[in-house]
Amino acid sequence: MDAQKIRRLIGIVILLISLALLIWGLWPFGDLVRTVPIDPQDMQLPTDEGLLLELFWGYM
Amino acid sequence: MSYKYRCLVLSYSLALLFAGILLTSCMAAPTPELIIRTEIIEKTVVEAPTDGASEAFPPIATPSLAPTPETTPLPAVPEERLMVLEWPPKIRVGDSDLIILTLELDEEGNLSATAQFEDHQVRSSQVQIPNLYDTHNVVAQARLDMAGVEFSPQGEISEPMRPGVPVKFTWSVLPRQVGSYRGTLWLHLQFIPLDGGESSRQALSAQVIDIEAVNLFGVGGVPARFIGAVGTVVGALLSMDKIGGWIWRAIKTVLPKTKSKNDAE
Repeated sequence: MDAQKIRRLIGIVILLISLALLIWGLWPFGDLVRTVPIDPQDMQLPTDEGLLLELFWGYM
Repeated sequence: MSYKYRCLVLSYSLALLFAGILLTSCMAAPTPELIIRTEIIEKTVVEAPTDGASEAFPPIATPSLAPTPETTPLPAVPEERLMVLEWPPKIRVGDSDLIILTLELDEEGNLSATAQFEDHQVRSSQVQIPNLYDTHNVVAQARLDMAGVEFSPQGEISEPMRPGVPVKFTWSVLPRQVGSYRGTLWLHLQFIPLDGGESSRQALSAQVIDIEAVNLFGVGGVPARFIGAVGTVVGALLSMDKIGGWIWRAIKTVLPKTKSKNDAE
């Protein structure tokens, strides 16, 4: 097998490995989205009585 | 089959197999959009049996945050909001990405309150609830707690909440090492009275998020892209050395034709 063939073979292997690295480095993994509705009742002005009730019932 | 042809077929097959394994491991499954609905749990009062033992254990009154006809409703923010949290489940080591928390307005955005009466029936009706924006400045505060990764900004971020205006918080996250990282994102509301009284604070939500930092055979994101780019050029030059000659010959054949055309004009 002459030197030219070996060179081309090595070049092909380097090219394919490099392409794989490049694709992995640029591949977008995507994002997760979580949507949680917030009731107006949760955005009420807190009072001392409300705080005590929340602590008693473990509401949070 | 000639020796040269066999070598070529073998090398292409191995490379395609390797690339295919790599791509299938990289391809993320379609990420479903997670929608979590909060459930309102209605507690009911259980009436004790009419016997002597019941006197020792009087029924426990059920507290309710809904307004009753006898009490003045608490001021509240007069709009329904959605908390939308967006984060990357996977990040390459050395790369940064964003975690975004948005307090959007609900599509309907209307306030509908329920009134609970003494007979424990729940009836939906329009109840006049004082508008919190009239008496207070409302500030949304968010804080990200996550160990093991660098993120910015640190500490608590405060943004004023205005009627009808969405509020957005953004953090930049940068993992330096491979691993799974779990963090908590806190959201509070601070109510500052307009007349200068003492401010109060209420926790709205605490969301847990998981981020996985990955690399490829010990190579992070930036080195992988650099090695990939350089290796692609080198590999192309080594394996397709005749292409350079073909391009040069094509340029040489086109250039004399255009030069002679310009001379004729």
